[in-house]
Amino acid sequence: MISPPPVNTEILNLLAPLLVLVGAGLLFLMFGAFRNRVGTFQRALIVILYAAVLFYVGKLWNAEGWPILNGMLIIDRFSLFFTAVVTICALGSVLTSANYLDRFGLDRSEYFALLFFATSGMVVLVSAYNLISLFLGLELMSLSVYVLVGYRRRDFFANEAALKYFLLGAFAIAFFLYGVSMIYGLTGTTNFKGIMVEATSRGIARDPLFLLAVALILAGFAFKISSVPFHMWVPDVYQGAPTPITSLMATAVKAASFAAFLRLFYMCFMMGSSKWSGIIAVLAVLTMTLGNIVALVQRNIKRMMAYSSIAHAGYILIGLASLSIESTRAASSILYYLLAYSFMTIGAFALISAVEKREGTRGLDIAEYAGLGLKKPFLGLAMAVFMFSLAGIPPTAGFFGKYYIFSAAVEGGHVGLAIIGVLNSALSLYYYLRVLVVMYMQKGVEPLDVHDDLGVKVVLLVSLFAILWLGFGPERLLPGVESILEWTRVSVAKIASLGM
Amino acid sequence: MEAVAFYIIAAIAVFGALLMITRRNPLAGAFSLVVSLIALAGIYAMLRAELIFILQILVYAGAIMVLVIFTIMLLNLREEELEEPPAGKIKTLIILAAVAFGCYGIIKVLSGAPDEVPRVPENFGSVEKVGELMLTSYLYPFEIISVVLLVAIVGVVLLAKKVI
Repeated sequence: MISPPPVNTEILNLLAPLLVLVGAGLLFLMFGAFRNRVGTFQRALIVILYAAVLFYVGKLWNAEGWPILNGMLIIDRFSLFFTAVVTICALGSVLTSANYLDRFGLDRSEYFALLFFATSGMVVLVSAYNLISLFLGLELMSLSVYVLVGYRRRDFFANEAALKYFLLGAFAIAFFLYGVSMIYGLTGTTNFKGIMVEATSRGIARDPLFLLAVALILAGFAFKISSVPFHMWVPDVYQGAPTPITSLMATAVKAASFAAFLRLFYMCFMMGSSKWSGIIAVLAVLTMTLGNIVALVQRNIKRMMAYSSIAHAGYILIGLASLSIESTRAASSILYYLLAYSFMTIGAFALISAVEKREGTRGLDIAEYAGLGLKKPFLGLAMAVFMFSLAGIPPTAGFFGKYYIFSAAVEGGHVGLAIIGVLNSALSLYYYLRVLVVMYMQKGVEPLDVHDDLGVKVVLLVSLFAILWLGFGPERLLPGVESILEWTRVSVAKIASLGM
Repeated sequence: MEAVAFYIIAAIAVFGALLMITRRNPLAGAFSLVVSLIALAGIYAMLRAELIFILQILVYAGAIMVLVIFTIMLLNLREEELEEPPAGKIKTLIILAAVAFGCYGIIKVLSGAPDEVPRVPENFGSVEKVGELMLTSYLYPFEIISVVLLVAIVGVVLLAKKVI
């Protein structure tokens, strides 16, 4: 008879961020039973609950990171770092949601319950230490997001987006599971550490079945991070989803998937072979080039951001291709990039959601941004900084993110990748700056109707500040750039040492 | 002996799946799927995974197939609405699958990878053992699954509601 894993206060403490999120989801389902609309009190409560998660992350930061509950999950700095990132992204999405839902008549408490469940799925995903918990995290996150994408049920585009995302997502997850079942068949375990030990000790890594399994798992992840050739769904789904959810998908979903991808491949499949590096490098080149080139011709700003997010996935894949056991530089640059990318994308989508309209032209055409820069100076300035940062112009966080990734690639001997990356960023300048040209240099025909309420303004201000702070913030009051870089380094140090 | 039984059952499963995608009538396709699912249950039985065997018959071959057939009947498709099965595509698919299978066999023989597989412990897959594991080693996934199912239910209700 096996005894159940001990669930004591220590473990409950480690699980606190997850428990708060799941509890919050249940609470908001209960609210829905009594009242349809979400009031000011509930909105404040959502912000407080997310803040509580961040508080627990800070409290646990120095905890020893060992696998708990029979090696199902691990709460180490890596998972805490990403818990913080996805919580910040979800918070950004919540703050932009309030006004948006009001305008579109979608204000219901289930929406926020699902947001909480999606976030808890991401936390499960980033702290997974076993393929089973990884899969369940992926499913919990995806199921919640599928529903949120199709939340605007009367809208044709939303229906199309939800159906497309659901069917293709189920297909991708099936690939992933097929790979997992092969890994289990070969190694007899689903534990990351166990797979790593088995794969290195018995020569399983050479088995063609093992390669097939890893390729299938790679395909599953490539779908979630919207890498070419699994990117077809991205523009339609990003366009059809409610804008705050698009923001969540472009930031939190992507960051969480990248986190699990990074941990699994760094620990289990990267050992001593450059096979996967080569394949990921090819994916990286295809992903960023296709994303950037197709983004050039987009008229709809949400579609443009969708292709831009594909391109950014490509840049991050450069970091994954340059992973090495000797140096944590590539891995830590991915963490920094995801943090920086999240802030600029949240900000940009907050602004897009404020300009979006329910009727008529819908306010999604880039041409409709004409005159915005001069009529709303703060919004114009914020959008300018977001676009500069997305394009990678110094001194914004976007520049430093790209700088760290490219220099890690050069260090890892992938000079060609770095060069293609730089050329791609130059290409991306065109479509990012076009938004600014329209905003500042063209006269608007229609009167602007921008709904920038307090929530949107807070998101814009915080993202604006974070983008500049991540670029050159000194060590005062808040932790500066040096500490943030140090966080990214210690977060990946443990995984690298376990991967030896 | 075991290998022969396995190949027979596996052939039935593949045959059922093949029939399912080639039948023009959706109802015939659904019944072919039942054949495939039951054959799969046979493979589970051969692996001595009792619980999965029972669940496969009850849930997949039983409950889910009833739902599928129910949906097909609700759709009430007429003869002229059915599409012709794309014969060319299916032929290509079969050839591709055969090629992939052949390549895999060649690589397997050439690479000389170890053929031994990990042994499973005693009582693996019995109802008692699965129940025990679910509440001990796999406690965490078990709890997460409950949240996943809750989200699925809430999501369906939300999307099927008349008004939001």
